[in-house]
Amino acid sequence: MSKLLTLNNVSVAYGSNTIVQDIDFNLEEGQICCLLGPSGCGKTTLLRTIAGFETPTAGEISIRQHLVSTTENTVAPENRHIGMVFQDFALFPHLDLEANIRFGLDKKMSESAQHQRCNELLKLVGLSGSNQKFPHQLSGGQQQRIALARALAPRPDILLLDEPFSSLDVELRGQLAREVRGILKQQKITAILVTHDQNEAFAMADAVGLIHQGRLVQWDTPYNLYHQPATRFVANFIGQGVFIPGEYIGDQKINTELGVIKGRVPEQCKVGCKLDLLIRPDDIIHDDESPIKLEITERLFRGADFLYTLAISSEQHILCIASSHHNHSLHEKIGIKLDVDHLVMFPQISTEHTAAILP
Amino acid sequence: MADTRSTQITSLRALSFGSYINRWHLSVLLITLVCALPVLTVFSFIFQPAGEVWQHLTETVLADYVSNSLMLMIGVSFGTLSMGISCAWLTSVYKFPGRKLFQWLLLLPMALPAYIIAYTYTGMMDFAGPIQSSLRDWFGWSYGDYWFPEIRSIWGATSMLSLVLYPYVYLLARASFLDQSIVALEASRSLGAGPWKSFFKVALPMARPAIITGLSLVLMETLADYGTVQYFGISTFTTGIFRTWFGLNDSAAAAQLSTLLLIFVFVLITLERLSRKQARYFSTSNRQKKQVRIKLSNKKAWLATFACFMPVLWGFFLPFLQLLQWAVETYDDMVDSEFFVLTWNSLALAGSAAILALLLALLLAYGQRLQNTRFIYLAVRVASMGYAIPATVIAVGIMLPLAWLDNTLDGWLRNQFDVSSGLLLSGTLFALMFAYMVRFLAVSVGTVEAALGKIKHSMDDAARSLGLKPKQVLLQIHMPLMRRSLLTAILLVFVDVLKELPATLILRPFNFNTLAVRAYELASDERLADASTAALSIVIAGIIPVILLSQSINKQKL
Repeated sequence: MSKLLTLNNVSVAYGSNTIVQDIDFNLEEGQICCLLGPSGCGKTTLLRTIAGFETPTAGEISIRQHLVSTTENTVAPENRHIGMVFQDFALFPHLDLEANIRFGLDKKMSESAQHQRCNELLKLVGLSGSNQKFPHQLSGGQQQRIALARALAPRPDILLLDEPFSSLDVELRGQLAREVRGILKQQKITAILVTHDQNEAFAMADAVGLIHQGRLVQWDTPYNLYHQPATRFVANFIGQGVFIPGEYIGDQKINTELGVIKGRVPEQCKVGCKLDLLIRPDDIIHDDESPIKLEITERLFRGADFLYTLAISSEQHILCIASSHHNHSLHEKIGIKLDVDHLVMFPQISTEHTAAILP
Repeated sequence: MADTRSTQITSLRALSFGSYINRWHLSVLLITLVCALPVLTVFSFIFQPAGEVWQHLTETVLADYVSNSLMLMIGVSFGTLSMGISCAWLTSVYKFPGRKLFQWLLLLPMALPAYIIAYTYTGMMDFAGPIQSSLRDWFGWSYGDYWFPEIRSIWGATSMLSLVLYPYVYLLARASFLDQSIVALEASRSLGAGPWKSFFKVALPMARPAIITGLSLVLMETLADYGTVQYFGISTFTTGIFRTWFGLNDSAAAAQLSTLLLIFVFVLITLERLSRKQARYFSTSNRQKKQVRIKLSNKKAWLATFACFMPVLWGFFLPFLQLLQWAVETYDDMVDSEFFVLTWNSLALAGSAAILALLLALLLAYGQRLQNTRFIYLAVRVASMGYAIPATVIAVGIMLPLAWLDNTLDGWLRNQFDVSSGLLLSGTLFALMFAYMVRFLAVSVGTVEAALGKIKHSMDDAARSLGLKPKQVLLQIHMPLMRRSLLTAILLVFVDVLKELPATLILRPFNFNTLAVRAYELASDERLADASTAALSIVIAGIIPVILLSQSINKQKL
């Protein structure tokens, strides 16, 4: 597969205020990637730089091996052949749906070809026959679909989606994310999605770039991001989990408050070195038979399951997901066992190792 | 590889959108410079040594100019504040017969330029006018038997200006009263303060920034007034500038006098800016604004109706009816082919000025949207500073550089080719149009800026990502979305130009007359009744913005 989009050490700054720094990644044709990060991390600025609304202060961007952004010159957004879907959809309120969708079509296209393309897209997004409606007559989800149709109409090289689901109801988000992914995959569209919602990122993307304080901290598949976080920040940001302290006792064994755990220890770690182990709720299995019994200090009923917070010691807690049938009351002691498939650990940096990441 | 890179970069340059931005940038700066020219010119005369005329002025009339202007400002402040605040308070808090009607009727006096209401009242209160005649009929008096106030005095000018300017205070105070959360007032009542105490302790202080904004606009208009004070023979800055320029033929002294006036104006601008800033700080975040108006007892309700009716009666209906009566009487004599030429001149002038102002405003506001730097923001503010500058000062500031240009060009041509170019720019429609732009650009910029601000930036980005250039975005997205506001901007400037007197008087081409100039000339010749057709036409046109304003008030569903 060929490289569609290349970012080469891209930095963007407003005056002395650096927003993103040294961003480096490739996107292949047909790939859907997601820029994920907490708000204010610079992901939207990065997207707008790819779109051509901002000029990088360092680095280069190429689309199909053509330079589109350098520090001196920026191809205007209208000349980049990109499509963009906005957080507030930005449908043109004075135009009907047909005119909205046809807005970006080449004016040289014949009237009938334009009309046909419009109908194709309306069908694709499941709103056939709404040509003459106006944006204000649509629900939020429908507006979202039209925004997608409008962006796809000119067959852009790359589709950019800026928090496209954040103005929708929570229930609608997941459904639309799956639908949109279906459409993009079917049409073989290369796309970049910006979001702060990891569920959305996992539902949509083939690859996720996690951005923190303007830097790309990990570029990986959703699976790896969850199971092999590259840094403490990634481990914290993605999913739920708790760091528990441990000490390497040699022979790939680590001694913790939950007993001795076996796993691959980083090579630089010598016997006696202190480590923090990431324990995710799915690493802890509730088992009434287990000899390890811990007290429930918090319980959160989530419908299909319970999320229990269990105390190892007065200040050390872990999380455990148990099926909805296992209804235990607060302060009851329940049995657990560890089912650590692969260990994620970082050398201890501070005494605040007990900082739990509660849901 | 290096070669392909460099060709790519050159092709990039051709596509670069930096050049668009710069073009908008440049037009914003150009408009700003041109608009600032008159004020800069006037100020440059500070550094000129004071001439003989200036000496003479300071020894004789300058003190009068200052004291008269100050007295007018104080008097008009009292007049507009008392009428404006009381009517705003009554219509926004109480229920009484005709309240809904008064909401916009109270704006009607804005339709009358001060000089026109001055002519009308002079005619009405003359010895031979309807008021004195009826008094004599009723009481059997004859000349000299009774005392009657002289309208051609400083109190007369104060009353005239107050009657037509109070709507500024009314509008802003009312908006502020309605914006105040009803909770604040209820809290005050629950703490034991009666309605009067609540008004003085809570509502009025909260509305103070808005009221000061309104008052500073009123005072700017007061300082800028030429027609009224000239007609009543009161020496103020504006009449002084006029006299120095045309009577004493000293342009430098006129410019220096203008500078002095501008210092007053800048104080007002600062006051206005500061109070606007404060208004933001004072506005309540509590959105609970469901207005429950207090029902008044029968007697009090009719008193409220009476109180609201007075300003409208004196500020609009009486003068309007008087003008109407005169117009009917003189219709046959006055409405002739000359009148139609006059009307056409006025309409064409006002129309083209309005459209030009709109185009410039679009350039400025959209340029600012494309590149919203502090610098551009400042440039746009400077370009729309003219609303505060008296037209007389603008006219002086335009005449000086244009005359210099004309003379320089003429002198050079005479030297080189022995031909004379005469006056190319001064005394032409160009000069007049220039003055209108400087004076009224703020009106259209304000309207366009507000409308543009309501369009989300993602609209621009969406259109750009779909292949539109910035200019096309303006034409295809913004302009259709702003249609109504653009029309409003055109109408507002149109009416302002139609009413404008002093700049037109100074800068118009020889023998070029407009309705306003004609009304002024006829009134100056004591042909008050004959001036009525021209005056009435202006007043009727002036009702348009009042209707627009009242519509936007109704839209707020208050």
